[in-house]
Amino acid sequence: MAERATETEFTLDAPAQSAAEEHGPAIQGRSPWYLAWRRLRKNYFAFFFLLLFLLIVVACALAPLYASHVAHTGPNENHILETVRVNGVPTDVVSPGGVINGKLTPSLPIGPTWFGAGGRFVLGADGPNGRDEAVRLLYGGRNSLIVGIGSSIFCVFFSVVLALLAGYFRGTTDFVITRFFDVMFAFPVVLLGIALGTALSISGFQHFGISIQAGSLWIPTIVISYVLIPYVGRPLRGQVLSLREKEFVEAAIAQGASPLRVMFSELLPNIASSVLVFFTLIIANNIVLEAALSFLGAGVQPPNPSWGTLISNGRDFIVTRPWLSLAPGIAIVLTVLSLNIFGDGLRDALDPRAKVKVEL
Amino acid sequence: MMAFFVRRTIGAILVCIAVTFIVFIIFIVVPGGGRLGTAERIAGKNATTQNIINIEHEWGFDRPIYVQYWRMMKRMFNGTLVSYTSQQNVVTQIEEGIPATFSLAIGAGVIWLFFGILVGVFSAIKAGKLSDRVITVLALIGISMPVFWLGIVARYYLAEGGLTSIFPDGEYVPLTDNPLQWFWHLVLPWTVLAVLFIGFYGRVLRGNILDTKHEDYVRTAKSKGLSSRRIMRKHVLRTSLIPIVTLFGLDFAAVLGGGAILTETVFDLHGVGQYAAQSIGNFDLPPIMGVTMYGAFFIVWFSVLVDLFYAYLDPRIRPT
Amino acid sequence: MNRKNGWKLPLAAVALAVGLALIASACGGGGKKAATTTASTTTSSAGASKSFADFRIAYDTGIDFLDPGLSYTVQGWAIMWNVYLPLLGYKHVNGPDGATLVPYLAQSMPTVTSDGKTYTLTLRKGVKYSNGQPVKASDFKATIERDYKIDSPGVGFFGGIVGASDFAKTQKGNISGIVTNDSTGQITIHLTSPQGDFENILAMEFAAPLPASTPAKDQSTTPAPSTGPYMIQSYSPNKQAIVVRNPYFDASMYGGNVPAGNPDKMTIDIFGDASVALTRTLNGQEDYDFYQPPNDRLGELESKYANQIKLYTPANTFYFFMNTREPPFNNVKVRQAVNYAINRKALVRIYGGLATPTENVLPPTYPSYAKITMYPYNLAKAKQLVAASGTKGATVTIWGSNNESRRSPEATAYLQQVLKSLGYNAQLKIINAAVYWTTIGNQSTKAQIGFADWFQDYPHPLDWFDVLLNGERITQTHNNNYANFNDAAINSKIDTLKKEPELTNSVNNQWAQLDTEVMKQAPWAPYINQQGIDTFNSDIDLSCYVFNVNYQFDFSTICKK
Repeated sequence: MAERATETEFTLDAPAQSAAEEHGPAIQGRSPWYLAWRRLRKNYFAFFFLLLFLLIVVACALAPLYASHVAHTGPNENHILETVRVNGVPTDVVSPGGVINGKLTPSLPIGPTWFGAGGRFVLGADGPNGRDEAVRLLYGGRNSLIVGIGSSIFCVFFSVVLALLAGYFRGTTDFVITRFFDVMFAFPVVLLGIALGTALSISGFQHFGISIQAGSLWIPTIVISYVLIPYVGRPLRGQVLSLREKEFVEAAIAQGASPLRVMFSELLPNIASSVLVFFTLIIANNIVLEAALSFLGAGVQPPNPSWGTLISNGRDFIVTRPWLSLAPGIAIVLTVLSLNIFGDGLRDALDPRAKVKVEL
Repeated sequence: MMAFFVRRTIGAILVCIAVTFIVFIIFIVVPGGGRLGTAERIAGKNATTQNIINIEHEWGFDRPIYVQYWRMMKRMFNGTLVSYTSQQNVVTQIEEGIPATFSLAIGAGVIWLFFGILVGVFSAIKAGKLSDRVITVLALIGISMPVFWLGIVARYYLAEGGLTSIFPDGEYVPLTDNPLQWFWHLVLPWTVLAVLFIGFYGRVLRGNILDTKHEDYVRTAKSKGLSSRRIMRKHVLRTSLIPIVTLFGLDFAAVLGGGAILTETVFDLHGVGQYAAQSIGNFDLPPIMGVTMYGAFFIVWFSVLVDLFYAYLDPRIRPT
Repeated sequence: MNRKNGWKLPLAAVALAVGLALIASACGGGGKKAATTTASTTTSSAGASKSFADFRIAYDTGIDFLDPGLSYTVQGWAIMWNVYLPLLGYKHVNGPDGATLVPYLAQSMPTVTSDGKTYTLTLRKGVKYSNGQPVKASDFKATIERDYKIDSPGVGFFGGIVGASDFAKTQKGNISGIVTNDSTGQITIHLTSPQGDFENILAMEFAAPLPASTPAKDQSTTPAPSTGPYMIQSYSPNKQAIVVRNPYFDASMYGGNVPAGNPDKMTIDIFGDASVALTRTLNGQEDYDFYQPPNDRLGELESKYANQIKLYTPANTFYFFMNTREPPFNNVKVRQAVNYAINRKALVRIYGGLATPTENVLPPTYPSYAKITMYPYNLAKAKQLVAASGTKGATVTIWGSNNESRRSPEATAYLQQVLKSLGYNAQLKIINAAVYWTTIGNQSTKAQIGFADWFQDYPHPLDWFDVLLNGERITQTHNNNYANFNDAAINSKIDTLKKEPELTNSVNNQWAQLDTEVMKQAPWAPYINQQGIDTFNSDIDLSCYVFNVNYQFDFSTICKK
């Protein structure tokens, strides 16, 4: 079992342990993970927000159910010339607009019906195509979460690999990897993101034997994960480097353990808690970054909805139909807030005195 | 110290060159930025084949990639680099965007540093109490809001043409033209940009202060009988602020370097960041190269400065 | 904003201007408009009562250049038609009469030989540039040659001039087909074959004479000397342009064709945001908003500012092209099915109601327009046609650009749903506007169907049929005939009509007939002509508002209350 790298802590269990030692059965040792879990469980605040996040994920995953049973329409179906009965009153989904009876009239999509139309257009229609905004919000959430979580998985995976390689082998490997991080750091994140996103949005990625179509969700996923690798990789590398100096690692190497074994059995477990915390916080960051890229047209491509594209589409109607931009924004805030609060709680639980710094 | 400086300078230059190289690859290798596409776009929709051939020759698109790269770098340093879409001088355009970007960066930077420290210290002092919880949640909400969405919402609720008409609706007024309007037009952009950082810095500082409080030397100071106030000021704060300074140096450099793309675009400030976003949208490689070089310059130099500052503050660290 | 244009193949001169002017003066109805125009020009050349200090314009970011040899956007031309005068030009009047060509720098309309291949004009005497330099006949030749040297997008229009293509290749020597005589002021142009729209071409900004010494590079920020009532004082890209009166302009030399203009100065402020521009205009900081008002402020405009807005229809057509070389659109039944299946009323709503539905190639502002009603909305019939073609279930990729002001993403999203309802596996591919046209103009893309729009370069049907639908003009790259439409009978009809010197009633009817013939084969699904709104500040007097069919709202003739 890997030895914990931090000092022996004075926990509340200590008096119980010594008391039990005196006149009790043998004490069961608890792994640090179990202890962390117990601390986390007591943090009702963090747990509440974890549940909120999971609720959001489930709601978005159930988007097809909502679409077919509540809203009776898909995310891309246009309803431009249709009318719905809202509380008995027939209303145009998209009003005609133009010069009507000599007066200039705007063409407006229907506002939120709040279930007054039997589940259709609960948040209104997005103009001018007359698509159901609530359905798009859920499908958009699906895409945003897929890209957010997927890119975090890739990002953390590659960062860990690079951090382990750099920290273990040091020397030239470390030099090359650090230079790579330096160059990536020199780009403002959003700039590199939109540069890659825009460039890849034309024909997709058709190199090195891999072929990814331009409209695929893989493109923003790869772009975002790539762009954030140095921000996770560099702190992790720092941790691995300091771990490398510890005696237990030296001991393992002296015993003849292969590099792979050292990296996986000695180093990796000791950065695991940092990785976990990073992962949570990076998901939060990536969801916002995806929204930003999609807003600028360099992320998820139309007609696929995502929270960022919904905000961008709603901008034209911000004065008359503010919900079109407000709803996806609030969705992002709630999701990211939940992840941030949970991530905070997770960090506190894993090591209340850990000096994990997320340098974003 | 000198060796350190020289080494970092060379490193900085190499990084900047690598950055331009990457940008070049992204826009040349990926179709659309390829050779034929660019000449056609410059030629316009009426183009004759001869026209396109002429353009390819004049602009050097018929040369090998490394020649094109070399020519572009040369022109960048000569100040003769010209955009594909507008045929305007890239350096001039960047220079014209600098006042807006700098105004945004400096104003927002002052705000977020001041309030970030305030929030961090306050919540650290009141750690565990309700006010700390409330502030933490508020800070986290601030971090969780996408900055462009906050900008749109702020414009809708607070700017002219929206619900209330308290603030002007975007745009940048030069300081030399009208200082009052300069300030007034920047209030919303500053606030929107700062909100994100205040929350973040507040939390980092709070974490640092709480960690430092548990350090041995603080315990020693307390047992020596020093007042909490004094300990806070002389020992805890100083150490806790060091990582904040690092962060601030890099974040500030990023905004100066045109990194506040979203804020500039939403408020239509015509700064360097907005110019960068437009150029990317136009597949206009020369300005992209110019802006990236400009941004990289700031980030890299500021990280050198931050390292020097770090070394100055913490005598244990020798710049290597 | 992109403008399309095509080659100007040889044909005899079209005295479109002469023809329409004759008709207009013959009809009494045109008299009223003529009177208004004369009145305003007389008043403005008389000066005092209508002139005012500064006309402040809130502009969008669409100015590409302020060099007449390079600019190919409405934004650039709207400023420059009062700054750089070509040899011929359009009347500063409302309505179809605005398409009438009149002499500007030339003394009179050109004399054309009977074979239509030689045009002769004489420069007016005593015309000066804004720097006091006299305008010389040889300046015209130098200007055309300069266009080639700066790789102007306009050179495609001059391809019919003898010696032009050689000059294009070598850029040495000169264009042999243009002969000028500075002492007599005579300009003679030889064409390789007759070209019906050559006079319209002479009226383009690309052919506006500049001093021969003008450097062969973009002069936008160092404006070249001008011949018109105004000159560009300064231009700061993406920020501001300032236009002031040209001290050497004399309106009396032009017989009313070029008004002296009312504003003493025009300050053009460039905004990146339509809402900001509108707010500034409504609160009096600007006088005129070039931007289209954001959709959700239309209600505000109508309720509070109804008498400060003008609705206009520029000459444009929005359409979905269908590539006749790629299945399933190589089958005419499928193309007709699409025309039946799209509900143009829905598309009008996508454009905010500020559009008129159309099934024609030509816009309704043309005399050669005869409304086509072949494809009323009929989804059932469309499905029948699809079934008959046997292509149901085929995969179709719809191309669109991300241009929001043209609603390309929304229109193509609608089309995707329509094609799905016809049983096709319809995918949507939206790409960046900067590379859209070159991508679909490249045959290797094999774009099956997609968004397109066309705004006239000048008011002549050749600018539409010859550029966009002539099979002989299909190219491998930078193709403008996105449908790859190649019908031998129609090609030869276009070539024949190209030789017609004038747009007589008969010629116009033949063009209208051609419109119908083309739409029978449905290479396109035209759907709307987009309208626009001009918004003004409350102290602008809209009785002076002039909308020219080619250059849109005329900045020079507006006046204040």
